[in-house]
Amino acid sequence: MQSNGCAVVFGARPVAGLGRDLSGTGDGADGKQVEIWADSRVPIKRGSIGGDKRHRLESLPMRAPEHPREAERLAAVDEIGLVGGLPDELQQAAVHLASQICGTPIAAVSLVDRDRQWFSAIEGLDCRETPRDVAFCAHTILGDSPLVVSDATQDSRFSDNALVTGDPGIRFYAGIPLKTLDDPAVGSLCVIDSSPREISAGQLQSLQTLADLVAAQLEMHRYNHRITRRSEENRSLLEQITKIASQVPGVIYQFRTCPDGTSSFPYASDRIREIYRVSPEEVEHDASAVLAVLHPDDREGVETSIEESRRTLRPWKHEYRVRFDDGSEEWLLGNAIPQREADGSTLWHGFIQKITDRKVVEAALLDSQRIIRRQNTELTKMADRAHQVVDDVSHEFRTPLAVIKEFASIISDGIAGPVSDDQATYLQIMSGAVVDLNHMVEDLLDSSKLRAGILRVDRRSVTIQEIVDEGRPALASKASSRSITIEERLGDGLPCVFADSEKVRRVISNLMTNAIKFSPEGGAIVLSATAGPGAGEATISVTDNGPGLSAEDIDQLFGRFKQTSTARSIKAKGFGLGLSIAQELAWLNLGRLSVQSVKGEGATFSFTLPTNDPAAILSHYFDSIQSGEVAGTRFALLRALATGGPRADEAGAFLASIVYPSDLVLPGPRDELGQAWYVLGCTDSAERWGGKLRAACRQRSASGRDDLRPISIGLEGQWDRVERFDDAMRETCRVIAKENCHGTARADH
Amino acid sequence: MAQRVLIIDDEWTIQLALKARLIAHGYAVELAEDGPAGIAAAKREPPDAILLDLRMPEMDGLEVTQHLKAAPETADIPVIMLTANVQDTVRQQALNAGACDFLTKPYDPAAVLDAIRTATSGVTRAAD
Repeated sequence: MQSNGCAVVFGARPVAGLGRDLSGTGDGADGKQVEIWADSRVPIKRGSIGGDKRHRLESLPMRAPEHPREAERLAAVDEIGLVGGLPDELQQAAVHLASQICGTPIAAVSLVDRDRQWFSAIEGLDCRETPRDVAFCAHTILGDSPLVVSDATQDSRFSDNALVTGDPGIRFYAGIPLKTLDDPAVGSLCVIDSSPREISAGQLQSLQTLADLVAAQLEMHRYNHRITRRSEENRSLLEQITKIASQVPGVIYQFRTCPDGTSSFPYASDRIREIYRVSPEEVEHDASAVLAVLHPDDREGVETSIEESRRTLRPWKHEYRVRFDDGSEEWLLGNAIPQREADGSTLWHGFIQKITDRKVVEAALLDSQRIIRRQNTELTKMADRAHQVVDDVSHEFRTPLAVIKEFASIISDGIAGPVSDDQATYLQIMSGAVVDLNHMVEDLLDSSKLRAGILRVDRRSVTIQEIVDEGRPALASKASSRSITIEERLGDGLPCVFADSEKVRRVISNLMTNAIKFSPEGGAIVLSATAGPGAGEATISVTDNGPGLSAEDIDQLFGRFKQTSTARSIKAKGFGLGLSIAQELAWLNLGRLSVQSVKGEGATFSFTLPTNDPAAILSHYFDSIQSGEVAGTRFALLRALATGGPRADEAGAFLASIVYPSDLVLPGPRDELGQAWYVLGCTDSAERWGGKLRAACRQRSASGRDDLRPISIGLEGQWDRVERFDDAMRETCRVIAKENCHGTARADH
Repeated sequence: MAQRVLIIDDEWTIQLALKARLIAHGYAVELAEDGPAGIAAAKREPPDAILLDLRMPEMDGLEVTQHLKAAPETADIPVIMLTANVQDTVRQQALNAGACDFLTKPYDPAAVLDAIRTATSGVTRAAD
């Protein structure tokens, strides 16, 4: 009992011994049911409360306090969805029964809403609601037990109530809270009389049973309402999806195949009308309308690919055509992810789009590729014929040259009789001119061979000194004929370079020949070699004190070189073929040719060579591929193993002779099995390339001319030259560095 | 007795030039203007060395070499190939066929004499 005296004990009522425990709050000393109110003096200060006109409040009643879980309770009331609606038939029957059982004129199911009580069923009163402030039921819902008021005029909470003082003149009230499980009560089932009276335990018991039924039915309403709301949410979600789907350029769909062989599109966005010219409804249960428009030539492919996807549960991706009644065709691309359903059917979620435009472009591209290929073939043939002509012409030149040179020599040697000093001098001049002419023919031949890709390049470790030594006599005699001095500045401790010494000699010779040509009588030419400028490279330079080149001259010489990186662009007047070939040969030696000059102050032509170190060689090699005209769409790395004695070292020269000059043959490690070689190059098919090399090696060992045992060739890797060139570089360097960490590059020869 | 050199070349100017040079250096020289004539001459009276042109009509130098090497009476005669063709593959083919040396035109007279000297001294010069 509350000490502040606000606790109220309702009159003694014979409710004890009810079959159902209604004692939610405690028993009084006399064992009677007791209701305890937390605070009956709750001041209600609402001035005007709307409500039925017939029940307009005359004064402020004693308002019931709010339920402790009022928000939750109101949500439940709201969810039941009966407030403001039509009377509920089942509840109507229940209240009829309640009034019969209790013998009261009035009975009702009251739902206590935020500001009013709403009668979802009522008997004996033509009224659907009252303001909450005057609602007896607002009190009932606060407890778990029935609220019984025998005479409202005698109850301080209700004596001033408009419903007591006015219509309908309530005296007796009995209400059972309507609640399920732990939820707060949403209202009450109540019986009302205009005369004071009592209620029997039996009546109260029956009323409770009815209230339980009504509560259960309310719960059902609440559940139904929830389902309705969820389906509304689903519908709005579906609307959103449909809206999105309509924006996607293709059909979003579900496709199902059943074990019995039937198929359907349980869902298809509206765009299926554009893709297959059917409506989503047409194919919702039967996909045959779609299958009917598949192009006859593609139907089998579609069915096979779907079956494959069904069997393996791998994503379905397929390009195919549809053909419509009007004869028009479209290309489609389908993508879908399959999943197996419990009933054994397979359900795909996917997307199909039109790719007709793309296909048209692809077809046009293929056509033009075919044309280009044919033109290329023709051009290649023409070029081959042209090269053959050059080759033949060069060849034909050699014989008469040889004859002129030889007879000049025979005469000047006195074999045909005595010659005067003057005659001897003239014959020497004649011989010199023949040598020059022969060089030009050699240049022509080299150029022809370079273009045909049949120039053999055999790069190996060599010292710059060796190269210079071999070329010196010819150059010296040429220089001395014009009283030009040649100064050699070959630094000490120059690294070995990796190069084809004969080709390097040709480069030096061509550069020196140019320098001699442009030097004044009695001029000086400096041939120098230094390490650098980059890491792992050496530079050979030829400097003259001739007239030099202007920036325009250099541009003309090297301008196009910058763009195309090909030696063939050097065609400046006066330089002949020699410089062009020097440039190409420098490139084939994995180096670069450049010129520095100031007009009137001579010129310096230099070219680089990689040092004999795998890393340096590879780095220069990859630069050369990137900068030069090298055919082939793929980059390939082969590994060759030559078995058998010291001659295995010769295998490198042989391999170099059967690959393209732009390919690289690099020595690998040597072990008890033999000598390994790496063959790097660009090709369209690494497999075919490897096959060709293998065949050439077999042929060589079959000829039995030398003691070189068979060379086996394996493919180490291949990469797309455009898209994966970085990978190719990285991987190649990794493989070669790994193997070479135990060995060294090929020993000097 | 002077060593005999057979020159097989369809180009008479070359024949004359070589002949003048070799005679001046003490060799006896016989000339043939094509392959079949050369083979016949070699069989009739085997020379100490043969200077053979590669590019000739009807039968080229490679075929001539093969014929010579196939016949026992001419198999041991050293053959020096002299050609305007400098392709490496051809060089290799010539050596494979059995030529002991391979010189290109326009030739260096000293190299020709050196090659003949080496060939006739019985030492086979290794391919370089």
